[in-house]
Amino acid sequence: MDDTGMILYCNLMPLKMPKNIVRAYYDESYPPVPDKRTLFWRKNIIWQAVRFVYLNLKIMRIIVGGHS
Amino acid sequence: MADVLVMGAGISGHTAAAYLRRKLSRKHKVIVVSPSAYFQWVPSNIWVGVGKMGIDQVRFGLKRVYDRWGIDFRQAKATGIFPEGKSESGRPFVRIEYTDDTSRGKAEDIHYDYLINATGPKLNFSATEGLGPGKFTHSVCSCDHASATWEALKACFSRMENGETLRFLIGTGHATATCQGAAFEYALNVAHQIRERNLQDKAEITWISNEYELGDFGMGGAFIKKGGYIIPTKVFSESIFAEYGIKWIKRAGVFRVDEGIAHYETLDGAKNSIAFDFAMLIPPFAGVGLKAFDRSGEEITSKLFAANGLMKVDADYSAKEFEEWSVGDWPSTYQSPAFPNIFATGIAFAPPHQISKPLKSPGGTLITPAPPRTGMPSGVIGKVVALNIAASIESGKAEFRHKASMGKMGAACVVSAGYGMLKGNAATMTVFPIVPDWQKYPEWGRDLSYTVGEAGLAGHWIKLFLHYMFLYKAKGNPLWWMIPE
Repeated sequence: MDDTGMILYCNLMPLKMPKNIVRAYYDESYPPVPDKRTLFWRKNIIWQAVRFVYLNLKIMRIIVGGHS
Repeated sequence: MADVLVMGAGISGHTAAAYLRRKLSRKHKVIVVSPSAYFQWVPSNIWVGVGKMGIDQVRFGLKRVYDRWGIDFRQAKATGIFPEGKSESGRPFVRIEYTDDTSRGKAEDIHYDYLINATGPKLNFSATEGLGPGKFTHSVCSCDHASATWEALKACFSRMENGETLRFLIGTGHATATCQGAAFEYALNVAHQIRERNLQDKAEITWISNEYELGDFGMGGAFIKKGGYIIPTKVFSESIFAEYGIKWIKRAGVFRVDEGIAHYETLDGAKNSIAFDFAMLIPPFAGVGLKAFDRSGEEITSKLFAANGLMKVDADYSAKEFEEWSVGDWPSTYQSPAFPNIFATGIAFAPPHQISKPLKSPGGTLITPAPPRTGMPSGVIGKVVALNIAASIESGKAEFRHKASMGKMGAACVVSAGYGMLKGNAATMTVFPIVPDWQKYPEWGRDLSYTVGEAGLAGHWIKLFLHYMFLYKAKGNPLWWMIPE
């Protein structure tokens, strides 16, 4: 058990990373994370309006295809 | 004249009742039996669980709508099915017990010509010791649970504002629980709320799941086209968790919860524990515990129901190895093989097997999600069963023209965090079909042209749009039937 009462069980990154630990050796360091540009487009109203239409069309296609 | 009895007024039962009333002439009777006076739009319970919506924003009273439609509504729970009737009368019936304030406890027999079992699941908290509201964990499975969960979460925020660092544990509370999508969405919303309050350095959020890999969602995961690659939902899900600073424990079956500590077994056989200050863990589902009796009063429950209490339908329930499973095992008309005038829809039908590969720990514990049956397939199944019954009654021929196999049906999953037109972010995933068809799509199991996975504000708008659109539809407002399930 660590000093916060957390029972240590697997390779989870600590809440406050000590400076001498390399981030890459934790499970949650491996997946891709969005960069600033991606985050910008995710919030851009005009681009998201286009994606809204696109996603709705995708969902409608699934709905129509799913009824027989 | 035919009497059609619908047990349950959730997404599937309510949809079935609505289409029955629309399609059947007035000489036929539609009766709905539900222990709750309300319809609730379950997907929005997540917002109740983070204080962004009140209970009355996700539910409405059924009686007013059913009175307008001409549906006979009984606020009651079904206690037994008598599909052969009684000895003196061969007419089948369901025994109900009223739950409303005026007639609470009163029993009555409701006769039927066709029966739809849409009771939904029993939230089987008792399968894991210490799990559930009133014990040591919270739930967002009903709006009442979600509202209580918000009160507990609010108290956590106050503690964090006073300088405490708290541990949040969110995920599945049993080795075979399903509905990972709801827990996933709740985890993101909790993380979002913590960020909005600028308390992220005071919170440690951990996801715990029985999935073999994140993004399994009880459907064996999926593949999506993204950024010029075909990637598994594992990468997509892990990416979202990493973005929100959520850690994860996978392949874990929670088997006991004590105050502030959850105990779990992983697929490699290790038994571990994790401490928490707040936990929201989804329970496994089971049937509601209905019993069935024959004409002489002998119990025939096993003839209608599987061991888990869910109703057997036109699926292939023969024991098969994972490699032999096929989409053909999945039901398409949801008709009981024992009694052709009984159907089961939504979560009430017994799936033939999991969708994810069943995996056991060395100690023999099955640690695999049960198949998901979310709002979209539940609504479609309810509609298809209603259309088939209505056509049978009107034509006098038992022809089931409409079919809705989960092996030929897609699903959209919108996992949204935040609330409002500009403040949200959602991961939108679509798959087709829900059950992978490895014969038809040998490479990826599903049609990648239907499959999407992307994050952004647009998905959040869809989630908001769905909330208002489906409540509009469920209330039977003008042209409700034009809105698809």
